[in-house]
Amino acid sequence: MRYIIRRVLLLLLTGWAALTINFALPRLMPGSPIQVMAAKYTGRLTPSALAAIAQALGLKNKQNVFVQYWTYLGHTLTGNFGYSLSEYPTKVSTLLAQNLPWTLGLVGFATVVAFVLGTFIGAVAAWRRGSLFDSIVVPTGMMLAAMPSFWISTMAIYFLSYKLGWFPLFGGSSSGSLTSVAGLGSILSHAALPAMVLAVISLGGFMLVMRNTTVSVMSDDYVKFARAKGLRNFTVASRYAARNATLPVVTNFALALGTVVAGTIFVEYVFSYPGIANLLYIAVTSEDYPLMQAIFLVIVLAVLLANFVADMLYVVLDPRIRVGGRA
Amino acid sequence: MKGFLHNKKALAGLSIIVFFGLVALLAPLLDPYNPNDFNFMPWLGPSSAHWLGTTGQGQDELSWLLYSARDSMLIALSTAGVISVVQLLFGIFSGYTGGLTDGVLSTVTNVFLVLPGLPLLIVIDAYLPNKGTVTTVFILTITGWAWGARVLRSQAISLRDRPFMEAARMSGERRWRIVLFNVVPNMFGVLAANFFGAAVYAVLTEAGLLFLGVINVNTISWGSMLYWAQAGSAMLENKWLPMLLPGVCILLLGTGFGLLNFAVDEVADPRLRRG
Amino acid sequence: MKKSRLLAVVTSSAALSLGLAAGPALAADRAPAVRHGGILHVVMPWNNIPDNFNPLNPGTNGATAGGTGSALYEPLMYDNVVTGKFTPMLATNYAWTNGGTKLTVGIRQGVRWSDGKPFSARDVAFTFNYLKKYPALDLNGDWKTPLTSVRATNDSTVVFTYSKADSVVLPFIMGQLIVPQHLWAKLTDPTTFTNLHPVGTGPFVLKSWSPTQVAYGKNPNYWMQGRPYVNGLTMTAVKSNQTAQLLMMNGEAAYTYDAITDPVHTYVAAHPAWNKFWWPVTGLNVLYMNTQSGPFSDLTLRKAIAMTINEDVVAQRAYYGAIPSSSGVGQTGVVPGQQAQWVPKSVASMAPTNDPAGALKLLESNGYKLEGGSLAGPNGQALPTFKILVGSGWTDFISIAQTIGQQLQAIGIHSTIDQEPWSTYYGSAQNGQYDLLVCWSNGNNATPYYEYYYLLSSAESAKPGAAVNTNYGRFSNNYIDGLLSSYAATTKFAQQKAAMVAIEKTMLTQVPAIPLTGRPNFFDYSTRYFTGWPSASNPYNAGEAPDAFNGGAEQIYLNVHLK
Repeated sequence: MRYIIRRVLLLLLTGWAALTINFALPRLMPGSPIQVMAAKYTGRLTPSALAAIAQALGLKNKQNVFVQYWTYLGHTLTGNFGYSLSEYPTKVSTLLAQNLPWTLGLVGFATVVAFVLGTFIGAVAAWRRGSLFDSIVVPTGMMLAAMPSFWISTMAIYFLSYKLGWFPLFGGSSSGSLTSVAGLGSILSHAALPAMVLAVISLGGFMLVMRNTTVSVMSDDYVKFARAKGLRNFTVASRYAARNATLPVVTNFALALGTVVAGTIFVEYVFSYPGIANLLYIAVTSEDYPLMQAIFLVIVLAVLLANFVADMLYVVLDPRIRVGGRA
Repeated sequence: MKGFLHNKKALAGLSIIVFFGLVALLAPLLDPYNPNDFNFMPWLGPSSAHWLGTTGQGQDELSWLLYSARDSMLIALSTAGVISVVQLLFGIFSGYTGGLTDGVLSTVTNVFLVLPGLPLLIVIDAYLPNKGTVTTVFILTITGWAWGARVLRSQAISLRDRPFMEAARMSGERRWRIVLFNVVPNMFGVLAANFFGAAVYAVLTEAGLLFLGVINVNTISWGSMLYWAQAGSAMLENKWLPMLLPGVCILLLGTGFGLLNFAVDEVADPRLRRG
Repeated sequence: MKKSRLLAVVTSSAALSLGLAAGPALAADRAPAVRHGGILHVVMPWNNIPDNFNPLNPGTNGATAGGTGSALYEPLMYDNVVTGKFTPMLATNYAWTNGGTKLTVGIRQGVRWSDGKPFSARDVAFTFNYLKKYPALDLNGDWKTPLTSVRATNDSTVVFTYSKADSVVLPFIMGQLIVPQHLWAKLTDPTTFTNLHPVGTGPFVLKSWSPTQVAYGKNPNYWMQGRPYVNGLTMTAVKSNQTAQLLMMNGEAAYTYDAITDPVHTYVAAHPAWNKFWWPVTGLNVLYMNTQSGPFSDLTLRKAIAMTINEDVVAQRAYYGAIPSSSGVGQTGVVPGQQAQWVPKSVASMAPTNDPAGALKLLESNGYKLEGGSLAGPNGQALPTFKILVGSGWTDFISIAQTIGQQLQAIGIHSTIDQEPWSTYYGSAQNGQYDLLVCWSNGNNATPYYEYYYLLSSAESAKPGAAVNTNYGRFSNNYIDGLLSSYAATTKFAQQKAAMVAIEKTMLTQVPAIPLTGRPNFFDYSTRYFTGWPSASNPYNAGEAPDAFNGGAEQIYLNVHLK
């Protein structure tokens, strides 16, 4: 119980610290969204237009920073993120609702595929350690993990979409209506290539982590014991070794969720995908503070919760922790 | 060390790194032209004068490709070095000291782990006035140290309770001596693995930032080569070599460091060792 | 070969600024047979299209103004920067009286709002007074000029009264989009009003909206007989320029605004029969130097730099020959299309030629010294390595900076390129925190006045340390200020020209900034399905962007028709 309380407290503390950094960061950025706009329109907006826009966006009335912080915390807790500056006067919540499903679909699919394939390949490689298969798996996994996501995306678009025409070039869909059958088909055909790219680049990590944890687990006494008892190889592999090795793979993934975001930004950017990672990139480059903060918050919450769930899974599945209170 | 050199992965990784290291050192001799020379016609195809053609800016592709090894090696090694030092300090202070220090430091580590790294990099980079190598190393360090620090911390915690540490403390050794002569050497394996891991991270992330055009794209580097290929519509000009080759180089260099990371892990962790 | 011919076309088009002010109807009625129907597809890298159709709202994303300002709402007149003429829309005529302090505008009769209610001069007066009440909507800054009142004297006349003569406000008054009084008078917060059921006088009405696509249908109440020819309009928002370019290349979209890299070899080459672009020069790319303090406050150094830079090479490198350079007469800062009218022979003959050797001589005769490949100032100290400031991701500016950096080595000036994110870039430009700056000129207009005003006026500059508006080089000179006000105080061409000629001479003798290349409207179009596009031979529109704030794209929508 003490362990769970400590975890919850840590979750809250980390969450608060992340919120505070989230508040401070955009305010530390030099310049203003108006200057970004002036630059974006390269002289096509007159100074008086810029002044009018600054006034409309409320950028002219400077509040005390502590008041701002207090309001920010209050608004964040109630889910009120205000208006986006780059797409004023669209509400930030509207943009989140528009973009989040695309990314969830893309990342969700890619992660499931990479997890299933990766853990399977990793487990088999560990079981046949030293075999030809294993000696192929490790360097391949290494190469997949070292694959620059923006590069493989660009290459995939060039060869598979542009040259061969197998996939649409970019975007989330080509039809205006997303609910029709044609709309669904369009969504799937657009998602196919970016999802495959994402799956390929996250496959390497799953493969390698699974292989190594399985190898470690196999040297644990209970697995040795099971083998010695004469249980069939497959039973030992699936029931004992693989099962216990999967847990660290999951927690590892929960921790690495933040880096998954980076890979997704590149993929969505290159594919012009209407997801939240691309939106975050746009928010950051156009200094859209409210939007940036909201997306940061969504990511931070997702990572924190994933880690919390992983910790709780440990408690449920690994009895040693309940007693030991490992930090 | 001997075990390390008998490890095939280590050998493969080492040869890749040595290869790129040599290219980096000898780039000025190997380069047919100065990569900063813009005076050729843009987008020439491969020919005997330009084996890989020219860029959209009128530079020799091959010269650029070879010279870029310098930037990537420099960024990889220096970032990995700085990150290792930061991780070591954090890991030891946090794990070995324990208590309130540990509480504060591990919260900081956790915060950096959950903040999305890439956008954070862009935000911090916008704030820094100078866009040189030092800046790049700095921002890569800020977003790249937390992961390994966590690993080192748990290593330090497990060392803290080992019998030989107990013995050292009982014999009245000074604390810094214990840290220096008992803790650090025992962390060497993890530290080395982290070093190579950080190198992979640095190579990939720097290339990514260059590709997005966030950091100085006038750097002669593989990432900037990809940036200019995209900016010059290489795809529409059907010039795919300048998009393919820098990616392959990044991939190979990353794999090299990755294999070393893996091999060190294997050698340092007896359970992963063959046999 | 292809390139140079193209260059010739673009240059001559810009010189063709003499076309008559035809009503929008005239331009295409000459065409023999006009086919009606079809849906025109427009594509822009807007990312998303906000669900916002408020024509007065300063949405920070161009998409708002895009469809709203060109398909739904209309200005009084369209100000064509290329021809220097107004095209009457909701207004039919105008006259300045009372020594240039009273502007009387005749308002078109028989116009109805898309909800069927009649439009009149009262809506026009309402709109201008609305801007006074809500300054956040006054994008043109109409009430920051000496404007004192706007009244509708009857249903067909609006009178603007000024406290002093200010002839230069005309383009901004005429460009204002007009909203219906019967709907807008009731609003409480027009700045966040999203106007989801827009009612305008424009040729189209809103049909559907999604974050990536807006569709417009024909307005059955539209006042111009038989227009538009097309049945509808779609605007698609994509995430990147390259995406928009690909849609254009395949002919899937017919109109966009994009500075395509090497357009002849990429975009045109894909389908030379359809894929066209017309980039009429309307402004400049300029090398700014901080003239207020530091080494560039010395005229000798500025002159030497101007003599050393070869603008033709710069233009070729940065724009692959698709945009003319500002060498020779261009150094006055007058864009090519306006040179015939505004630059007399006597000034043109003063234009400098590219001469690095002469630059070095000039420097040495003023105490500078070239030592070991580096230039030392008159005080004997070597000049520092200068940073050339550009925005990150702007490949044309980065190419310009690279080329200039190389050329300046000839006189021992060393430089590096400083790429900053947009906000930092623009902030540094405004705060004078740069050595050399590559940036655009502001105020592109039918005469050189606004460009000079934004480039040189003290009112747009500031004290050291304070941020300037648009006079990034911080050039400040009473003589220039006097010339600019004398231009604004008269409506007579001869007096206005005299003022401009004096400023042209100052540009050449004082080198407050160095014009590098032209800056065009990047108008790209496809003739696969539609014809009737503006072009060098028929410049009824200046090649405006779909999201231009002056209603320019409307002219295109009214004139384009099926092949």
